Amino acid sequence: MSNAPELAPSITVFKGDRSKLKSKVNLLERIQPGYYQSEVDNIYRQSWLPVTSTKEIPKKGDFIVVDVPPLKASLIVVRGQDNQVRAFYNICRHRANKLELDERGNKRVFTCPFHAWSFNTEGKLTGVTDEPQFPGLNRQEHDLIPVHTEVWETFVFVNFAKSPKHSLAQWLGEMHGGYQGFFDDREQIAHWSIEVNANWHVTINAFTEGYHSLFLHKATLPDYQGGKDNPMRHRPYLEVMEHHGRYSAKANPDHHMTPVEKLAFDAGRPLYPAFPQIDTDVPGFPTSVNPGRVSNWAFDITELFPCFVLINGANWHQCMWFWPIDENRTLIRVIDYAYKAQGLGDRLAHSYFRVRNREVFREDISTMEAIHASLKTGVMSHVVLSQQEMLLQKHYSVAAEMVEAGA
Amino acid sequence: MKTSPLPAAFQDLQAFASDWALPNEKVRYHKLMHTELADLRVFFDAMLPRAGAIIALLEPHDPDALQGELLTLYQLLATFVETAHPIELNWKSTDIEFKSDPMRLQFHGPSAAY
Repeated sequence: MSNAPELAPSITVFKGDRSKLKSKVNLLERIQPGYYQSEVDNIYRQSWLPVTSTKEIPKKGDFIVVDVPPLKASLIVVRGQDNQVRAFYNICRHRANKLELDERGNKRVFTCPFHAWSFNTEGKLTGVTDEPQFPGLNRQEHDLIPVHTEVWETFVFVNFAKSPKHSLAQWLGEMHGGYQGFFDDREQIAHWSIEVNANWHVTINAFTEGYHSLFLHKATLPDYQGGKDNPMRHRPYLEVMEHHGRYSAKANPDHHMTPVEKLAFDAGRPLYPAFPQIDTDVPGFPTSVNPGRVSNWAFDITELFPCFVLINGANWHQCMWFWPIDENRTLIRVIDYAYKAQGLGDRLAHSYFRVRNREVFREDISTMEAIHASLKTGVMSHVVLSQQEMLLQKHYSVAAEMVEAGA
Repeated sequence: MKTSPLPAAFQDLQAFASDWALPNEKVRYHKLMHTELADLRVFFDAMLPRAGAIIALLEPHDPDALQGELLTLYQLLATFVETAHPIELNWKSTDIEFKSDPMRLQFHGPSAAY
């Protein structure tokens, strides 16, 4: 039966099935090493995980090496000579040495530094040095070990299951056709990472509710949302899907631009924390951008379960990964994209945007280690979540279901 | 790397070039973290009235192809844009109020390039 209370009055339009959501969540059990291992096996090994962007590997032979810490995996993501994007474990099939040491590049052949075995961009073992000394060697048994790979709207996803339970389209659900072409004409404008001494749940939870913005971000974002008609910055639209959740935020029509913000956004096209006036249904916006078609829209936040957050405005988006290293540590990676700069003015707008954004991100970081340290005392096991924090409720509901399904 | 002098029309800002004409977000961030608010305010106050003229001079040029004195001028302007927020938002220091160790943040790709 549902533990979800009746909805209290707010401006929020809620969509989706709330019947399994709980407002009290046990975090103490989730920071235990045994529980964490069950999450690796039943969540991380079963989910489609975005790992990079096709924009990183536009040409045949382009590759990027990405780490997936919960699976302790290094992957080579490569665009083959047949133009298909594939991911392989970065492991030489001779003696299991790390095959590729560069972070990125363009190659026709990956050659192991140990004994120079070589593999092509489709993962085939193509060269064995001194091969006659391996009597009976069957090359076909020693190709690179692939990981299930699919591409969606510039994002490269992998799945570590032997046989994934869902196709990527099924995993994405309502979002699958919802962003067609939206991310295409963008360039990377900022990239940060930090290793945090906190459990992965605690870290991703900092970015999927707007309740805190009025308080934690009072000095960095004093007036970008809210305003006199929405003083507590309630989300105008909040949706829970089968695995994921998303909400939209409204801009404050009375936002005051500072002199340098105005200078940057007069020189280039405006970005956060200024928002172009977006009303209910902008022609050309795909269905998952401002999915509730709310007036005076600012941006959307989408949690792609388990550990990825997409934040998108009209002409920028932010990709955030919260990779668990173990039950006590998380690697956070943030990459910002915006429209391609067409000159100096746009570059200044990018500069202003990324720095305001970075300082807000750093404030969000500030809570994580304190929360984790508090949980470690063991005196407080549960946290309580408001209906404005419903994406956290959804996150824990999906996490619990996947762990229980594998138990 | 030696910083080129500023164009003649911006000699009034020359005293700031060696400290503030910085090449990328990472270096600008580290500068901000090691600067007192009062010193940042001196730079901000000098730059704000001149920024429009700098933009007008640089706007016809490709920001990725700048060299010499124009590159120095662009880097001074970009540092100004990326360090203005503590002054404009009336912070008590150049760093955020709720913070962890600022030096733990790592910069990659474009944040270390420009």
